[in-house]
Amino acid sequence: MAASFRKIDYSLRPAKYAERKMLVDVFRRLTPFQPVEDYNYVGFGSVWFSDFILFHKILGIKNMVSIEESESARERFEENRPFQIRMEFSNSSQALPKLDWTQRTIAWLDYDDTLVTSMLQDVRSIASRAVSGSILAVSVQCMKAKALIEYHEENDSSKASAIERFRQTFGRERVPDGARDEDLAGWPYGALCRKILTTEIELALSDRNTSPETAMRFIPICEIEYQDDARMTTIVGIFVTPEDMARYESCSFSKLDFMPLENKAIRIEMPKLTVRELRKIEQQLPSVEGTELSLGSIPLSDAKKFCRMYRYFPNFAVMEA
Amino acid sequence: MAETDSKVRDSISAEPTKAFFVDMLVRDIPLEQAVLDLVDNCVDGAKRLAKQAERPYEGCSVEITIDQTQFRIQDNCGGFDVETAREYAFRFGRPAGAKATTHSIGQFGVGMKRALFKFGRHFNVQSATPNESWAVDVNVDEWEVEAGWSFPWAEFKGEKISTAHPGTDIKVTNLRPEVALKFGTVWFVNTIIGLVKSKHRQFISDGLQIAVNNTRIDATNIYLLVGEGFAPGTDILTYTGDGVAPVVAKIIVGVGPSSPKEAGWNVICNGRVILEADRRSVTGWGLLEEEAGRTLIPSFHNQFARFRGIVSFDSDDSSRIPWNTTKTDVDQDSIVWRQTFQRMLEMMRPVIDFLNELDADIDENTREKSALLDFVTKASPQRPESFLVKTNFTAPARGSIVKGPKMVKIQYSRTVDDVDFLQDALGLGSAKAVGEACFDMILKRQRD
Repeated sequence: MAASFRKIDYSLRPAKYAERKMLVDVFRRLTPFQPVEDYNYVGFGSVWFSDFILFHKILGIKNMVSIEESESARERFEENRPFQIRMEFSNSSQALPKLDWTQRTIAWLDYDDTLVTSMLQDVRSIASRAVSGSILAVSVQCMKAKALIEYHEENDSSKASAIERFRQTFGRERVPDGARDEDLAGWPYGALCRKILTTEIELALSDRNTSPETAMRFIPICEIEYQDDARMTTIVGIFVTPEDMARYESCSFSKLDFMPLENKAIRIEMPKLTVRELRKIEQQLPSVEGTELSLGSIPLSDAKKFCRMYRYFPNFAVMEA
Repeated sequence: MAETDSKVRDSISAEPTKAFFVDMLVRDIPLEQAVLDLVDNCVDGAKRLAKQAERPYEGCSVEITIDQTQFRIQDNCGGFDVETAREYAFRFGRPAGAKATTHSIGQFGVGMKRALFKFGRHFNVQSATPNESWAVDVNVDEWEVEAGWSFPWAEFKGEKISTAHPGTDIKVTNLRPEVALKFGTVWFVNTIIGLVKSKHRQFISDGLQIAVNNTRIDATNIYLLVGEGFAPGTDILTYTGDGVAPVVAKIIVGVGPSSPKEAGWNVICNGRVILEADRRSVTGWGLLEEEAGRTLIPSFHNQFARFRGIVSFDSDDSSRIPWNTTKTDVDQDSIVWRQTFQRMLEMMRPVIDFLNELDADIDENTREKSALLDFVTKASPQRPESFLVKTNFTAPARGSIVKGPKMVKIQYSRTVDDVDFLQDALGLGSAKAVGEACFDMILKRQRD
């Protein structure tokens, strides 16, 4: 059969790709603080270094550090490492405090796993050091909390509820009183994780700040939800002191075209359209307000998904034998 | 200089400066406890209004607002009158002979002032009873440099409260910087919600409504497991004395659902939870018999995650109850505590022994096949209020419950390569499964 439908190769992770491109647009706007290319970048490059490559090529960032826990494949990381990326071979909780945080930094803690307490420790390490104008992004997997998995596995009638276990792991200070078992799976779980992460950042700042007048704040820029294989969620925010508020304002992050209304999370959803259908919609974009798109047989919901963030989706070439 | 005046030189003034006094006063108390102290005041108000009913505090409510600019606590718990304000509420320390709420939880005469000074530099207290209303407004910076120790009355401007709707409204503004920073965090607000939930659980389940930043709080509860031949131990001790109100101590020990963070001793004084799931030597854990060097009670370990102990002290005279002034711990020197503590140790021993047996049974038979674990998980949870009669802890002995044949556990090691090979060959998911499959296969072969 002819490849008329766009095949999404899982290894390409299109939603993750879109997320990275959105972050590029966020970081571009940091110029009121300083030229973006002079920012430091800290991330978890793995062997792919996809984020590093993109941020270097598009934003010109040069001073980059990749943290890699897996010591055993050291050689492989070194061989795959482009653009003089500095490697820090240790787990993130040991590596982060060793880095230089006196320069403005973009840090993206792009975890593969669900939220665990050591991630909160990482977040605290950064929040207690970052200088004004620095960016912190954190991604975690949010399919199902470990507490919920364990709850379903045990056949003990007197067992504690899943949210109770979750609260015992994270502490009642971190988990809002209203959270229930159903907040431990899927997008509600993503929202809970983001809330816990921001609470942790706030806490670290309240320990660091000495007076409300000079207090460093963490201002959320956006929240992202996406799914290639597993459901993932990301928070992105910026550290700002009161004296830098004018700079922050002139970044006007809220004007980014993918920002949803009412502070909702950005949901990256891949439209399932044929190449021909994509071309047809692209001819009509960017759409002028008030004009209807001519769609023909194209499903409206997929067309809408595409229009909302077409600038960030990857371009696919269909290779056929 | 006046130094030459012989009258002045007669003595040295040791009168403390107010700034020093305030500084010392607030140093002792953690911020969270200061908030709880103010809730305790509302609870005492509710106790004065309490009805003879199943839920005696029904209709009483407390609203707390915490943010970076202010602290506010409003209640409809009856308010307090001008005389109480003048003679007691704003005085430091309780004057001899002052009237007090019986069975109160705010007995030291420092709670409210200490909290207000701890939070900020400006406070406003308004209160209304059915007969009168009043207000006090203090700018602490100005007050500290004025002579004298009085607080100025202010004009009553009740928003929600009035003589028709008696209650108290306390507002602190111009917060201390470190307090403002903490009050501004979700973390702190969640902490307060969690503390109120557990420390005031008895009052909440008796009908008192408490809300923090518009989140209404429901109470947490402790549960003890009960089954056939399986029941918590209960004892009631009464301490009387000449001319003083008696203290009644009720001790309950038993087994609950497995939950390491809820395990330990809970100490409750006149309804207010002082210690929660305590696992320190103060409540007996890890206690050594001094001479013999023998462990009397082991240190807490996760195998005791089902241990539940509750001690409640009640007395109309709250000064006889063994708690410290910040209500964060017991007063270990109190005779009432020392005698009760002895009994607690005796009563926790059989529960510890049972939990050790349970652990051994699980170890030998696995979680799936332990008869004792099966028995415990099928027991029904009950609230501690339902245990009213003195009785010893009872639990089935190991071996008295039979579930299938007697089991023995086998443990051995082999090289990873070999185990992986067999795991692959047999299509199994774990090394444990490989061991079990090999045993079953060879057994079948030999038996057949």
